[in-house]
Amino acid sequence: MEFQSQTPLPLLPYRGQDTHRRMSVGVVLRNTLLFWGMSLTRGDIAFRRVRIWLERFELLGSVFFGVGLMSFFVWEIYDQERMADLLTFEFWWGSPALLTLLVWFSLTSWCFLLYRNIARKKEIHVVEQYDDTVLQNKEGMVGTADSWEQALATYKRKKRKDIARVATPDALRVIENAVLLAHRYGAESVSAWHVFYALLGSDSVASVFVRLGLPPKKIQAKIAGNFQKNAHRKAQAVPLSDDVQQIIFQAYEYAYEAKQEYLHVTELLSALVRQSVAIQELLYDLHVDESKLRNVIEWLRIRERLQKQHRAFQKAASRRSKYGLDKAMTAVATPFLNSFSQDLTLAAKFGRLEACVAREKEIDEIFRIIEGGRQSVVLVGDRGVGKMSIIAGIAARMVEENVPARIRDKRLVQLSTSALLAGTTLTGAQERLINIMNEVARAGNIIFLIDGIDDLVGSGGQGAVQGLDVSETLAEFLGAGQFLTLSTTTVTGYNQFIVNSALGQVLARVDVDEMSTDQAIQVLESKVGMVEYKQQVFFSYDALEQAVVLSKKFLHDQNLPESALAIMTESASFVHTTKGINTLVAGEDVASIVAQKTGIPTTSITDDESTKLMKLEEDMHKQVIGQDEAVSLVANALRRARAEVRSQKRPIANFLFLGPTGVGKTELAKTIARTYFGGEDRMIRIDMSEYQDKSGIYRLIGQPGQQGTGILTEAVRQNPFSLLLLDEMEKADPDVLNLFLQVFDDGRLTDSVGRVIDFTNTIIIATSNAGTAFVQQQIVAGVPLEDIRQTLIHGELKQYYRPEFLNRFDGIVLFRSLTRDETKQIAGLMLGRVKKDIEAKGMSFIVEEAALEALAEIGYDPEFGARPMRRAIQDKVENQLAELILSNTLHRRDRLILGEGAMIRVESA
Amino acid sequence: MFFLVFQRIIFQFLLDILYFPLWWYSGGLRRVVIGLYHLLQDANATLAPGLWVRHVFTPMYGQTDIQGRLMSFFMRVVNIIGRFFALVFSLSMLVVLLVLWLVLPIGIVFMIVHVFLTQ
Repeated sequence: MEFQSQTPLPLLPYRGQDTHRRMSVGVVLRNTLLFWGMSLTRGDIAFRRVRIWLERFELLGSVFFGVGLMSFFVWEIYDQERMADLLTFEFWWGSPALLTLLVWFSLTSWCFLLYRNIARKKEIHVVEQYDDTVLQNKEGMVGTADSWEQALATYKRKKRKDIARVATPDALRVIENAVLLAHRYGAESVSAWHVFYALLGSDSVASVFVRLGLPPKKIQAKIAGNFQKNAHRKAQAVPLSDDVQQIIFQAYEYAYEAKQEYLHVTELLSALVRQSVAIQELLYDLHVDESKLRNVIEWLRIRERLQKQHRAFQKAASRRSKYGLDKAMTAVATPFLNSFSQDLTLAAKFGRLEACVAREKEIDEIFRIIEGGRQSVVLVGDRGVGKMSIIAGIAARMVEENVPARIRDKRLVQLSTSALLAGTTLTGAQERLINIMNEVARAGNIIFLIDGIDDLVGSGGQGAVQGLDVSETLAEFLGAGQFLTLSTTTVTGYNQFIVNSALGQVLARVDVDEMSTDQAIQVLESKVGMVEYKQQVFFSYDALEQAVVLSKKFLHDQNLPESALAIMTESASFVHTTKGINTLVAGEDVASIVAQKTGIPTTSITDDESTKLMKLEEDMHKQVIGQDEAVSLVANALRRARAEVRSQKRPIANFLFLGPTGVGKTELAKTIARTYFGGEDRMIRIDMSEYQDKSGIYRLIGQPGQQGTGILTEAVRQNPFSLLLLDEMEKADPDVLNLFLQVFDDGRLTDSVGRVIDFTNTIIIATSNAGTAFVQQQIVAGVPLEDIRQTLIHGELKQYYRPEFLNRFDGIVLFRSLTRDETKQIAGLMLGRVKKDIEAKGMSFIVEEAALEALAEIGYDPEFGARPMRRAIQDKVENQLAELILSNTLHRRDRLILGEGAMIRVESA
Repeated sequence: MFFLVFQRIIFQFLLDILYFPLWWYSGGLRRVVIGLYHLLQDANATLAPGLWVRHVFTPMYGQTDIQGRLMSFFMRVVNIIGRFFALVFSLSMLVVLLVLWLVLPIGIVFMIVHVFLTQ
């Protein structure tokens, strides 16, 4: 994503004079005069830096005097053996010795320490509270103040805001360093580059760049190379350039809009990048774009926010009862319920639940429903989208008491389905449930949670308990509104068992969708700390992004963020074991994990691989003889797919291979499976001759309502990265062919239970003998191949396929009959396999040209392709070999020579 | 440049020392009062006597029968009194701290003068 530029703020004119150094830049926004109240002259910066040392000196000094004077006093008293006098009134008041002065001076020192320590910390100022009603008057209301005189006259006291006071010490230091840097180089003004250089020196920004895989020191060196030394300007004051003034105030605006309390270096970084086009260009060169930068900055913020939340949470948690009681002690004990459930608020109190990130929208929706008076909520979403994480988020908010009044000071208790069923019959379980419900209703402080409510309702659901149906019981209790229930279910579970049952009426549905890429990245960012700590490795931003992007793309039967989390955890332990501790997990490591899991090459193309891709034809010709046109068509499709310049919404390629039997159609398909998918076992082969009537459709996509019965859909669902070979396409029923129209076009097919199967990572090859006789005729007549194809498509093939079907193929490839010479080469290849077997027995096998000639004589048949050759080799060569081996005349290291007339001579070693 | 900064630092140091008594009874006092107020808020949130007053007639542990209600009422009254006293106690501790803050410098100065005078 491209960097956005920002609308300039209507800044007041810059006041460079020394008298205005505490109010040199300002802007009127939201009816307030914002100004930078910290002097940026070199003298003042130096003074502030030394001032920090003075403060330390003062603190240390007062401790020194405090301890020293007191010790001296104690030592003196001990020395004079007057310890007993210490407790007398006389000693301190009646006739005090001068010695007691030591105590009073020591106390004074301690007071001074207290004074310096409190006064040193400036009172905390925060960014203005975000106000939704105030229009952003960045433009349009520019006229509110044109000059400083006017602004100062209009905006007084509370209408002024010093934004330097809300900047973190780190951010202040960056601005100061930028000014000092400009001074050192004698620059005309402090430019955006100076600020960038200074920012890279700050720890948090440096960590942003480390996460992006860019060493900050190197970028600093690159920037410094462009600075010009200008010795004679050194002594003069350096004003802030317009860019830098904008950056400072824009950064404040970002902090304001993001509802941050302080102005951090990260806001300076965002403002800087958006302000300066030159820096944007530099970042583009380093492969950093807006969304990348934004997500990494968000990473820092999430870490900060989680820490802050953790502290606030612990304080709130300490006030919560660990016995499940409310504060007013009105709740009833629930011993029966407790033995069949788990208390989530209690778990949250002790920090056993994980943090919930990027789900504020859903939580707010649930709260709205509860506040609106509905009793019960069902979260509907597929496995792994984070339903329980939302529940954990609610539990945490309940502990913090940051919830609607109706559920404040309550317990969130999760029913354990396994405990409910353990050691009892179905009726027993039902009875238990009724007892539990009664207890929940009586307790009055319980919010009941049923994870996977479809398990308890209706039989036959996924993982459902056979025969157990408590929907009536549940509906009775929930409908009466005696207590609140939260529940979760999958989309299919909801549609099948809940929507039309009595329960469907009482449960308000909240959809939990799969997370977007950005949300999932944020979730990973919030959880990566724990993984990093456990495995002692560090994640680059790229690694997190890859984990999300690749799992979204390649792990179709799992959902974000769970799929990405699994990949992330696995990559961490992979890097830990392969590269050792304290190493960086790069995007490539994640890609290689995904590649291992799915068998699809996801790592970026290496040099080695790109040469391989460039000479793909050559490689393929090692297995497929002749058929140049077919091979180059396929090779081009594979190159497009690997370089990702193909449409992502269709299969990688659809080909129709037309040609007589035995000319290498299947062989080429096998070769593709081997080169692109990594093995012949990646080929799903479906013989279309088995689907000659309409019932074949159900065998392909499954019987209605029965899961896992579709031959085609199941195969592709389990192996989405494979070559789909549809053999003898013309023999299938036309209705079966219609099924493939959508597959070829959209890359998807819905199976009999409504799951969408993804075909976008398959290569589909249909083979057909249709029109072969016609092709043979034409070739013999000497008609060019291209012309034959045209006549074929427009005439001959229409008997078998409809035009819209033919139209959907990326290529219709004609396979020619084999020439005699090609058959000879094929014989060579086939004998290669025989040779391997012989060599495994410790003998060598040599094939002479004359032998190939003899085999061609027997095995060449233009009508039947290479198959007669296989038979010829079988009859002529393999039979002889078998006889030789059985007659025990062969010894290790013998040379077997296949010579004239395809006869085998044995040369003893 | 160096001397200028050094001069300012020395000046600042003197200012810090001179500002000490003034700060103690102005800015310092304000910060201490705010801090003590937060402590009081924390104590109130933990003890929550107000909540108990509101629920004085609500039966405890869901015991809605007459005996239960009666016992609850007395139990709550006892609790309210106990919690109220605990709060008063913590408040008085805070007041003591405040008084200590106010008196300490004066006391020290007084004692120093006293020691000199009685010599």
